[in-house]
Amino acid sequence: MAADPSMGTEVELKLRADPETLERLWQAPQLRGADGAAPKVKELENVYYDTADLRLRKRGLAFRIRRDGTRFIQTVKTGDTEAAGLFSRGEWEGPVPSLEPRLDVIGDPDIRAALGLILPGELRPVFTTRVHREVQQVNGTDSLGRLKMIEAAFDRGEIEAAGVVQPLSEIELELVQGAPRALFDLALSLQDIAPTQLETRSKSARGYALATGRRPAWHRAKPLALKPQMSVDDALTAVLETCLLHWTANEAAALDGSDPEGVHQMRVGLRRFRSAISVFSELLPEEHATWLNGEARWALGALGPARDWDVFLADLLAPVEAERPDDKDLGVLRQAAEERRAAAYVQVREALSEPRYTRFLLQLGGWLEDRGWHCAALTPAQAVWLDQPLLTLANKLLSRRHGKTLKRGKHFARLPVEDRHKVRIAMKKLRYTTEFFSDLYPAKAARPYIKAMRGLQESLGHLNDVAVAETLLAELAKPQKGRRRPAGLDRSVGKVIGWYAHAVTQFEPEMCRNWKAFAKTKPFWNRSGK
Amino acid sequence: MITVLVANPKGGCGKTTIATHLASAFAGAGLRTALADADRQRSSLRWLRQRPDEAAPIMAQDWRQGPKDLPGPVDRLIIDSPAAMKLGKIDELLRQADVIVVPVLPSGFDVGVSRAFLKKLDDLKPIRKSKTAVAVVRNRVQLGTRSAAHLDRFMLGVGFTGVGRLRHRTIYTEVASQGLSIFDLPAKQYEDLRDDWAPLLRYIENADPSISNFAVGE
Repeated sequence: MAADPSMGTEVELKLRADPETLERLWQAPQLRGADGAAPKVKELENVYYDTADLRLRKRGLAFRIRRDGTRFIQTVKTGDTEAAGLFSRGEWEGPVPSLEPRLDVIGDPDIRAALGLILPGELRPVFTTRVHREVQQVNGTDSLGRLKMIEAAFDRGEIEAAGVVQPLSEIELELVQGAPRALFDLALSLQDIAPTQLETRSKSARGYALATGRRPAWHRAKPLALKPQMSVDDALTAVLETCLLHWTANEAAALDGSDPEGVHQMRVGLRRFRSAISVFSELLPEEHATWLNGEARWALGALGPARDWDVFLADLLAPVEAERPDDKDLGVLRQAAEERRAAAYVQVREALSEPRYTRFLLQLGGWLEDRGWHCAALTPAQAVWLDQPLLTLANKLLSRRHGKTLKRGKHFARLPVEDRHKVRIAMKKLRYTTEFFSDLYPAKAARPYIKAMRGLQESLGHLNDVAVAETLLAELAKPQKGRRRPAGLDRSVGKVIGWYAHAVTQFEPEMCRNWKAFAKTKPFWNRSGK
Repeated sequence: MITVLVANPKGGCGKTTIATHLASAFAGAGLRTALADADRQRSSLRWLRQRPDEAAPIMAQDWRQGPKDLPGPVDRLIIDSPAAMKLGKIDELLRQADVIVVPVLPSGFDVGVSRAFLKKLDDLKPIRKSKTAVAVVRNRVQLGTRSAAHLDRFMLGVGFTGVGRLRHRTIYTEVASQGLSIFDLPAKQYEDLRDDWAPLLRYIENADPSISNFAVGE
């Protein structure tokens, strides 16, 4: 790739704000470069092309021709999926004579391979963006004294597909030279002037959404692919990056709210992040772990009620409704719960547009980019651990989580519900640790253990169902100011609580069996910790 | 890489025509293409030997003694499979394939053999789990004839996706003897015949294992 000058990786951050905020930020002193160069102004038109079956989109590509005055530039971007990360996309570009796509000018065999076979005339316009772009070059040094050169492009305009037009208003910070950290620092300092939001979707992702009319998709976590011999330091970076990517990729779906998976996946990403922080906590400066854990917990908390009501409606109320189709009381309950869910989603949207959330992402992004844990507060012992091969740490941490779970679950059959909840939580932590590290061991060896762990976790999940049902039903039963309590509400609450309280007693023998099975299963890692 | 296996237990159904045409369509689009011949009759290899230097390059692979490692990066691998009714014999090739292309001729006899073959294919695990795509292509079709109608009924019956139909034309034999395909001919010439191939080519492109459907929201 290095041999071809037209091929490169773009490192950029995008901030979304309304046009008035853009106006204010344009005046920001930190955007005035040291050399005082005058800003450039451009009128750009970008036409994005694809096949009728959207194969380029499916392959994570964006194919566009940009009209910049009298010039036409054809660009192919790779890795352009919603889950591609905050920045860094591969890019090929070259001049073309018109708005007509030209495949024959693309010499790079890897880009040709990525595009695949395209039949003659098969590429057609999917959507168009038109922007008034003002670019300010920002030169200087970053917080560590390294040279930086950033292009800050202020885009105002529209995006049009299939006759529908949406406004477009964002700032693109592109790194021309220097360390990526500089982008995050600049974005953070702009937050002090006016709040913006980190835009994780590319313009093309937005354009396709508009063109296809599809709701934003949710995404699973990308596989981690950790290796036994990689350093703890590299593994830590990979794990945290994957978690961050997972939750930010689901932001659009969570904000949209039409599929419960959006908020759910975002929470899974955040929860895995928290557990990674907890797994690696001894290796991080204490105040770093506290900060990250606190912010992630806050975000999780903001998304919690939306998830709770989704679960309540789909997994707790629906089964009862299915068994009692003529029960009118349950309809009262459903309506009350749906109102709560709608309110919870309003809360999600508010939290994600809060400056606190944007700051968290920007600070975390910069910290990860620079591996910010390597600072004065890092102890020599921690530094040694970070240098170790991952397998050594994995053996140690798995043994510890395993031991803790066994201790909590001692005399399981006789444990009261509160103690079983503690087992459930220990189990959850064990499961996250196992998920992070199981790739380091032969899959066959880990299988029986993972199976036993899953079985037990499922059983313990019933306990949680009741606890959640009780909390949420109590919430519904609470009198609300200025509102008449609908007839049948108390009755329906009683019915559903009773339903699950009884169900748990039925699960008791299975739960004890699953505990015994798990406690007997041999760990798949080296327990001596070597 | 997309691996395409062209297979039918019966000889003479146009396996080699399809394999060579797919290979030259991909090569012509600038993709790194290999054509592996696993058939004892080695018709694909002979076609490759005839292929002129100025035609889009296709890597020749002799697989008569079994699959081999490819010499370098390959974007599209086309395998001309041996004529074998017993699937065990081509088991390894079937497992390797992302797409299996089954050419079917309009004659009554051929339809019977093909149906039995497709039934067996259907029982294979990766196909049952729809990890491997199967495309049935009607070959040498003469539009409006009785056997064409017969073939249409067959297609409806077997429950596999019919992916286009290729009309019967003598040009196929003419270009074959020169190591060429209709994709190697000048752009305007035989454009309508090339259109016959579009559904199959698109089908193969969409079977790319690296394609994820999440991007478009499925």
